[in-house]
Formats: sequence, structure tokens, C-alpha cells
Amino acid sequence: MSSILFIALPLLFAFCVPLLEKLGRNGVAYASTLMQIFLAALAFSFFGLEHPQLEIIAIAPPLGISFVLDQASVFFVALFSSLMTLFSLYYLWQRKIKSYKNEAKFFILLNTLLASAVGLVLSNDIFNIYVFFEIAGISAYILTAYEKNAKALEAGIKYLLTGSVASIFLVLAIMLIYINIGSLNLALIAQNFETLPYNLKVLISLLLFLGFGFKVEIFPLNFWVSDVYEGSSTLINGLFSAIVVKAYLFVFFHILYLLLPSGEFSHFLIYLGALSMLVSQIVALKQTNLKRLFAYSSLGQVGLLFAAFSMHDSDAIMGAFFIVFAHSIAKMILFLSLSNIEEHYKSVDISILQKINAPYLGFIMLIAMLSILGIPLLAGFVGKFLILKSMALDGLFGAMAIILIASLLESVYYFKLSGYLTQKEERGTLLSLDLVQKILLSFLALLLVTAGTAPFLVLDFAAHAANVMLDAQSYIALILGAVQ
Amino acid sequence: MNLKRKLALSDISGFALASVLVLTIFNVILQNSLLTQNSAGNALLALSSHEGVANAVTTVVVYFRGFDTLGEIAVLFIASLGIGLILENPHAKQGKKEESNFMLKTAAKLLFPIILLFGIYIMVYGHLSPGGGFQGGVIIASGVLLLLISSNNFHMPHKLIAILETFAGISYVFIGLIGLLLLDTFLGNFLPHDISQMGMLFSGGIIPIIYIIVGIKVGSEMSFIVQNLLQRGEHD
Repeated sequence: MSSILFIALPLLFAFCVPLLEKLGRNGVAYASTLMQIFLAALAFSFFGLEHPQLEIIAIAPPLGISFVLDQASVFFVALFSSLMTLFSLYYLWQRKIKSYKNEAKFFILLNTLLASAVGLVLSNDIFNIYVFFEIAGISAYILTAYEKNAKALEAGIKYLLTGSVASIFLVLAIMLIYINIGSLNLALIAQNFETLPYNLKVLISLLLFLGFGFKVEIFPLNFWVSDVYEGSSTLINGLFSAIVVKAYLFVFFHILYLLLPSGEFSHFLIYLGALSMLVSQIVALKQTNLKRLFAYSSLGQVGLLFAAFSMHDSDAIMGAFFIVFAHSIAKMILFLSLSNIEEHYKSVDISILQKINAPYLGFIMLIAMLSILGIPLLAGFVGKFLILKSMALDGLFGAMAIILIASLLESVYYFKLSGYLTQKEERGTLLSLDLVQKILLSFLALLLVTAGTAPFLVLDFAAHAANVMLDAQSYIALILGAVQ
Repeated sequence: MNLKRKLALSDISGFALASVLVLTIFNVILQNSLLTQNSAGNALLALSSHEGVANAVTTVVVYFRGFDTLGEIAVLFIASLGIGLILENPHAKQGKKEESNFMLKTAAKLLFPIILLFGIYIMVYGHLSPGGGFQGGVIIASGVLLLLISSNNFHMPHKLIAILETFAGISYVFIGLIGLLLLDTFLGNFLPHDISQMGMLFSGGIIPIIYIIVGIKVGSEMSFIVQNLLQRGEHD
């Protein structure tokens, strides 16, 4: 099986939707979910892969576009396709309570979002990455504005404007790279990037940083995030936090490791990440809207990931993989449950957690929150521990201190929320979940607990994936070796 | 909002800062650029004759970088979907538009078939002469725009266009998948593309077919976009 199917099938589905609509109201929804289940199964079948797989399109690299499926990218592909599948399954039951208008179009956007997130991870051609950058961006703008109320439209326009500015920087960087190196292939660019004049190297790095910086939601460039989260509907926030930002993070650091293998700006980026985490957690303390609160908490976790990936250290990257896994799942749980709460109690105010009457949902949410905090025996702990350990070994005590202070602030509001959930108060009407939704949420929570109590099950794979991601030389050899 | 407000100090300083930044960037670019000659683009153009297509640019756009073109089609597809979704307003009343004058109406009727024919020509001959699917599709959409603005009771054949659009999108991906099945690369050129046929209408294997598909897709998406934007203007 070829890795191109991860992109071709969702696109094919998106184009097919007008035909599938003829099958009735459920046709599109079921077909989309079935296809995503197939993709998730396909992604897991690649886990045993011994050698990285190179998929050529039309003409061999470095001239043509090609896809690389190695241990690092297969982790992200599997994560995205399985989370998208779980999201679709959850929505199949959620739509009995609340369904979107023009549902067929909603499923088109879900699948273009999936195709582009996977494309960003797999592609090794920088212009092709730009195309996926745009598809992901446009799908996300429309999903943000989907509900068409004033807040959603405002958020959509804000997202569109910042996204377009990011595209300009990125396309300028690609133009400069092409003028000077004469290629769009990442491996060839990586090989020749050293030879460029110093000023130009700095300029290209800066433009790439600005282009991706908006999308990876790093500190000075993340002013738009909380508004977008507040405006868009709660279910969709789960996708943004679990899939979209993770795809951009991967591609940003993938390019960074290739272009600057010796870590020229790594100290700057580590402290920027740590600062990003600190600022987000300080702002999160004051939030009274749960959607905004979780958005800032997402920003904090992304800052931590940013610092960890910037370290050019395989142990830290291993920890980052754990955090990616744990945070994606935990935020998916939180936003999915929040959408149920919002539907039932018509509020996303922080005080609603005192009134909800849903012991099961509350318990699952508690696990997710504690995992984000990094409480032992949950997946988030393993990630945070590995990152802080390698920071200590590398002597980065300043960044470590900032991250610890930020975690302390994080614990202030998450413990407050846990308190609200467990308080013995006058509770509202009972919120009952569908059995399938309960099973899906428990499955996600179980993943967090399993990865946290028995990290040795996945530690080998994570270590290997981290090494593969950091190893620019064998990536270049794989692609350029295909020519001879 | 008062459009005539005076330039504030912040506007001027912002503008000055932006210009300094842009000038610095251009200075760095001009002083340091290597302007390499042996670029991938030149290499692709040199290789393009192997596919038996007279227009080398078409070979690069549709074949060597065909996956980017598929991505662009997807971008156009979701952009059109988004415009339809955001601007759609079921409560809007059918607004009364001023009747266009006789000359415009007659000219539009006469011109539309010619514009359509010209668009199809540009599309079909994309592998032989300058032009191709994107250009041809936009020309057809401009013809639709002419009909829409000239006549009050012109209704786009929505069903037909939706069928064409769906067909085009599906067959693009299917051609790619057949290439994957037969030649082991997505979008592989599995039809005969002998170099001796270069310059003929039937040459280049799948390349002209894909470009026609692109044309159909672009034409229908652009027509939808134009129609959505125009109707929105009427209601407000």
C-alpha cells in the first residue's frame, strides 16, 4: 500500500460528496467515517516498517515531488487519522443532539483538513508543503466561520487575515530559496543551505520562522488564537488543538532540523518556547470562558513542545512526542465533552463545571486535565519528565525554571477546575451520554492512563522516531540516493 | 467611518517602519542572491520533451508537478464551497434588478457561444499552444458572468454544472490512482505518449486529458463563485 492514499482518498471523497448526497442524509457521514477508519487501519499497518518508504510522484526526486514515510512521520499520520476517525464517530452520535447545517460540506472540510495535515507531514517538497499549508488554512478558516453568527464570522476573518500574512512570508522564503538554490526539494535545499551567504541564511530563516510562526502559535505571533477558539464551535476546537497545530509543529521542526542541523538559533527558540508557555499560563489564569481557557492552555502546551523540539536532543524530542500524543488526546476529550456540556446547559462559562450533573463525563475530563498538568501515572507526566530531564542534563536551568513556574500556574487553574468538578454542590439536570460516546471517551482516557503507567511499551518506538526525526543526513541520503 | 480623516502620526511612522523593513529585505536579497542557473525548472523543461507534449510549460504544470495542480484544484474547490456557504442566505428576497439595455442583452447572446468556444479551444489545445485548463476555465466563467449581468432571468444550470464538477474532480484522482496501479507512481503517464506524435492533437498521453479536466473544474468553480458574489450584491 502506498502512502499517497492518505492524501488521495480524502480528496477523492471530498470531490465525490455531491454523488454521495444522493444516498440520503446519512450517506455522506457514514461513507466519510468508513473511509477514515480504513485510513487509520492503513496508518497502523505501517507501524512495523523497517526502512523509511519513499513514494515518488511522476518523476524522481530531487526534480519531482515525493513523500517520505518514516518512523517519525508514521507516528503523526497514525495520530491524525485515528483522532479524525474518533472525532467522526463521536460526531455521528453527537449530531442526534446538534448537527451542523449543510452537513455534507462539513464532511468535505473535515477530509480536506485531514488530507492537508497528512500532506504537511509527508511531503518533502517545499512548494508542495505550501500547497498543503493553504488547503489546511482555508479549510480551517471556513470551519471557524461555519456557524455564521457574528462571533464566528469575526473569528473567521481574523484567522483569514493572519493566515494570509503567514502565507506571504512563507512564499517569500520559498522564492528566495528557489532563486538561490534552484530547487524546491527539501533534501537538496538542506545540502546546499550551508553554502549561502550568512545574511541570506538569516533572512530565509527569519521568513520561514514568521511564516510558520503564526501557524505554530508561538508567543508574539499567537494573538489571534484565543479569539478563533472562542468564535468557532466547540467540536471544531478539538480538531484545531489536536491535529492542525501539531501538523504545523512537525513540519516547522522537520524543516528546521534539515536546514540548521547544528542548531544555530536553538537557545533563542528554547527560551521563546518557554516564554510562550509562561505568558499563556499567566493569561489563562484570568479567563472565565472555558473555550478561551482551554485555548490558552493549548498555547502553553505548544510552547512547551516548541522548547522541547528546539533542543536538538533526541531525549527531549522523545518527550515531545509523548506530549504531542498526550495533549492531542486530552484536548480532544476536553473539547468533545465541553461540546456536550454546552449543548445541555447552554453555557461555556467556567462556573458551569460546578453545576453539571454528569459524574462519568466529569471523571473523564478530570483524567484529561490531570494528564495535561503532568500528574504521574498519566501520559503527560512522562513527556514533561523526559523534557525537563534532558534540559537539566543540557544545563538549561533558566528555561527549566520558566517551564516549572508555568506548570505551577497551570496547576492553579486546572486544580480549580477539578475542584469545581468534584465539589458537592447543588447540581443541575442530569446530562446523559450515549453509550458509544461513553466508550469513545473512555478509550481515549484509557490511552492516557496506559501510556502513563506503562511508558516502556512505547518508549522504544518513541526513541527510534525521535532519532529518525533528528537525523538529517539519512533523510537526505534516502531522497538523493533514489536518483542514482 | 470618516474616510477623509487626516494622516495620524502613527500611520506615518508605521509606513516609514514598513518601508525601512522592506528596503532592508530587498537590500539583503540584491546583495547576496546567487541567481543560480542550473535550477530544477530548467532541468524539468529540458526533460519535458520525453512526454511528447509540445508545450513544455504544460508538461511541468500538469505532469511533473501534477500533484501541486491537484492541490490547487482542491484549494479552488474549498474556496468556492466556503464562499457558497458564507454568502448563502435563504431568507433573502429575490431583489429587483434594473433591466439591462438592449445592446448588452443582444451582445451577450451573440458573444456567449463564441466565448464558450474560445474557452474550450484554449483548454483542449493546452498541450500544444500557450493556455490550458486554468486559463480556459476562467474564460468560460467570464462568459457566464456576462450572461449573469446582462439578463435578469438567466439561471445557471446548477445540476449540470455540479455534475460536471464532480465528474472532473473524481476523474483527476482516478487517473492518478490508475497511474499508481499500472506504473507504480501516482499520476504516472499510462497512455501512449510517443515523441513522434508531438504537436498532434492526440499526443502526450494523460496530460491533455488532465488539463481538460482541470479546465472543467476551474470553469465550474469560478462560475459558482461569480454567481454567489453577484447574488449577494443584489440582495443587499
